[in-house]
Amino acid sequence: MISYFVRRFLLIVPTFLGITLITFIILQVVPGGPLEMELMKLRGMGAPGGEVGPTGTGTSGAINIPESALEEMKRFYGFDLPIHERYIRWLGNLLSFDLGRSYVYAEPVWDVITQRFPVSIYFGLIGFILSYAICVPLGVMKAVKNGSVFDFTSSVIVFAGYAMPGFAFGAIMLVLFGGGSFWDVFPLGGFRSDDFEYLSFSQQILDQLYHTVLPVAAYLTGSFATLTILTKNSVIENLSQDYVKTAFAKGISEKKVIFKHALRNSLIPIATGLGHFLSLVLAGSFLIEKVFNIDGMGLLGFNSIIQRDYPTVMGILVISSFLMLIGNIISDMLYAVIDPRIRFK
Amino acid sequence: MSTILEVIDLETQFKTDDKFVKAVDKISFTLNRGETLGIVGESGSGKSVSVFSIMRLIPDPPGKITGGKIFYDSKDSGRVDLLSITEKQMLHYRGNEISMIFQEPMTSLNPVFRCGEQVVEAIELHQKVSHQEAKERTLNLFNEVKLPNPERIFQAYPHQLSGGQKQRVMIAMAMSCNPHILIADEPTTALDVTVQATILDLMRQLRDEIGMSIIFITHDLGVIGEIADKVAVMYKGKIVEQGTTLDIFSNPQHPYTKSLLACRPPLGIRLKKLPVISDFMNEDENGNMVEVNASVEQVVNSVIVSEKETQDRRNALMNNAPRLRVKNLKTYFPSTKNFFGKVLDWVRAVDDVSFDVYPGETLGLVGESGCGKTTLGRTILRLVDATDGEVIYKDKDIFSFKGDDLKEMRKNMQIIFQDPYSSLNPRLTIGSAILEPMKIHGIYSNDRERKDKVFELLEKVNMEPSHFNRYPHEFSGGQRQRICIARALAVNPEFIICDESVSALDVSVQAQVLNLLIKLREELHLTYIFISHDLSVVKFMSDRMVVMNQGVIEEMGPADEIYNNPQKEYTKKLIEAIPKGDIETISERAKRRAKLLEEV
Repeated sequence: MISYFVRRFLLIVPTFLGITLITFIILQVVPGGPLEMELMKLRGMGAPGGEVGPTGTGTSGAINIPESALEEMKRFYGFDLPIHERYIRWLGNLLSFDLGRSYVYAEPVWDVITQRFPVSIYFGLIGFILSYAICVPLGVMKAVKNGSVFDFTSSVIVFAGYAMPGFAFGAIMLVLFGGGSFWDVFPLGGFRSDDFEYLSFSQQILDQLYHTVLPVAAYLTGSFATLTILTKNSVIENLSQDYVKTAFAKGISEKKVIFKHALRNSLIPIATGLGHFLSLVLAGSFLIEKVFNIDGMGLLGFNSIIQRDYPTVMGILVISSFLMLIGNIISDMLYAVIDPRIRFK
Repeated sequence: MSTILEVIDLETQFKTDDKFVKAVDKISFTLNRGETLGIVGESGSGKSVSVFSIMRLIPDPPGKITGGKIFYDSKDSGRVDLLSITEKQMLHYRGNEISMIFQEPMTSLNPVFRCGEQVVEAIELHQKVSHQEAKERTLNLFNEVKLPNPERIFQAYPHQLSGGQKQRVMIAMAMSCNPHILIADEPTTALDVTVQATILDLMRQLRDEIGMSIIFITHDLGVIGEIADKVAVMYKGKIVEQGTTLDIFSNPQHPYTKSLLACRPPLGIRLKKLPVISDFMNEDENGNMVEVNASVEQVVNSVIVSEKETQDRRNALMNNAPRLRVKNLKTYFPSTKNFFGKVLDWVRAVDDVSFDVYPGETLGLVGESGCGKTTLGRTILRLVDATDGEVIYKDKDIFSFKGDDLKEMRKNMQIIFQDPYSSLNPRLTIGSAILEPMKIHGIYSNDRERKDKVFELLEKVNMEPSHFNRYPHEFSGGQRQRICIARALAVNPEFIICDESVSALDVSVQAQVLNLLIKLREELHLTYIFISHDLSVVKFMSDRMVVMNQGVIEEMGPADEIYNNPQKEYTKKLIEAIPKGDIETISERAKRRAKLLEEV
């Protein structure tokens, strides 16, 4: 089995090259690149989607750009080289852990991305833990009480959440609890209050939680259904297995049969998703972040694409695909750990 | 001899589609200390439901125990009615004083816990011992149930053991708290005949040593003859006959009991067809039983085949040129590979096997699980690739077929699998399942004609045309196997491989399916290769028999000759393992047991 995982790790290299190569080419070939955007700005036509542009607009009249300046700009963006050389150069920098500088933020891409890690990890982790902590027990309850009123009502709620987009749910909650015409319970948005640094430690915790409730609720609404129903079906299936009969015949109480014997087997298909907790550092949803005014990974990703901030786009891609590939392998390993019947060859 | 369990008028019902069905209908029996009671009956006769009722393990809903009393004479707390105590009190008896083993050793152990820990759990649940003591007890138990290398088995997960080993672990678990009653629900049905013999042997030995009582459930009266002191015969939820094993075997009263005795393939003689239930009893329009007044001997004697007839048939068959020739066939599977996927070692599933099959003949292929008989069958049909050798069908090399030739071969050669539950697509009606192969091979010009043919086939396998639009789950195992036969026949094949086709069926149903296969062979001039682990079934079905072991042929020859005069130790072992059910052995065993029981 070790040789299987060694092979899997080795296969990361070609997969990774494939992902980056294809994205790199698509990004650079599509029209409307950073150079064109810059020129448009200079010519005073205003940049599309320029609301978040870092450089001020307002230059009036058309300006003729001298050839030498154009060359200079091309060199700045690296467009003076053919595309394969550009890729190889980018790859070479990557090997020395240099993701380049962001065109928009004029900072190293690594710094731009890592600045947003805390926000992503915070929301990602809370969402991840909460969804497992709620869905697994809920699924077990639903399985044990299959067909009951409780089972039916919880299904209705869970599926309603599944059907509703998270940002829409977030918006509704803001209307209800954000201090508009109804109740003033939670803040309208932001990650923390502006005066966060001046608060005492316990106040800081409260303030953080106060800002967390609504966005996390919005993140979670859609994720309940799959996990809950998966758990439920898995438990029901396992409760009808022969070994459960054996456990009952041993004289074990019903509770222990369910939680010791049936649940462990039911968790096998669920636990395999755990490998992807690594990707949490990049978790984020553009729409939800927009609704709650949080400066997270979702917004960054969206804006970098709109503003043709190639180094940042590629930086996010590199990190996320790498974590995804590792996460897949971890999932497989977990699978082998939890289920002794699994042997990879 | 004191009574340990007394069941009085037990009634258990199941709710199906708003009506209640009595799965167990007012049954009464007693079990004495140290005694073994066999409960015998076909699937659905209510035998498992009765013992699950005793354990109070009937799933509610849909099931419910609706009447009766079950008095259990506990050593500590005296006589209790198991049906009137609380669930919490019941936990004390379950697995402790009354324990149970099940039919499917493959699935009865929890796949994610080590075998040893599962037994330790049972010990710790009922006894005040330390984990270390429980572990030592488990290792001792593994020794007692004759598991090789108990330390290794303790650490092993269930999937790493064979079926027989798993059943031994289950027995160790059931024995772990020195139960007063052991309930065994078809404990040997899923096992090979040879493994069944060793498990029965073990149970007899443990019982005689410890003096516990056993309720042994099976569909096979032959197995009852091997282990039980007395028998209760169940049919449609009722006990129709009770008595000592010797009485039941030597003087059966109820026609159903007679049919169970007669439907086992006999060993000393050759029959045209096996006696079935309808030879002994029928139902009139009102569903009442009508007894056909016949004894077991009368029915058996009416279908007996003389030695000369057997000889003549074989001579006639061998006069033709062989239909199928298998020459030096080898099928190997990779067992270990190195880092780059190069095969380092092989499993030799079929290793240099040669034989001929003549038109109209049934060639029997017998051997234990893992001997390579299934792989051999599949290699012949090109469902598995051969490593080397030739298979010649009607003078043509099967391995050279491509395109249309291959399609033609697929039409001519069919296979019927072991498990009728998984070999039918649950989402296809049985009509379309039978129709599909005709469509693939372009038999008949339109679906109208094909449908008529399906009706004809359904009648041929004793099913109703009205079954056309129904789904597999609506049928019993025997009916499903008949559907599989109809599907195989749909393309008018000449040659059929029956791969353990009756091993998953009750003996009474097995007899019906075997008779059907023989009838079809004569009517449609079919040639069979009949594969099974049970030498008695293979001997009944085949003209000639091949005994296979570890990928090679041990011996080959006319079926009766091999049975009467086996040349190899392996063949003798297979014959030895068959439950014979002969009166002398049973009466001798009964005498010995009577003495033992007096001491209890």
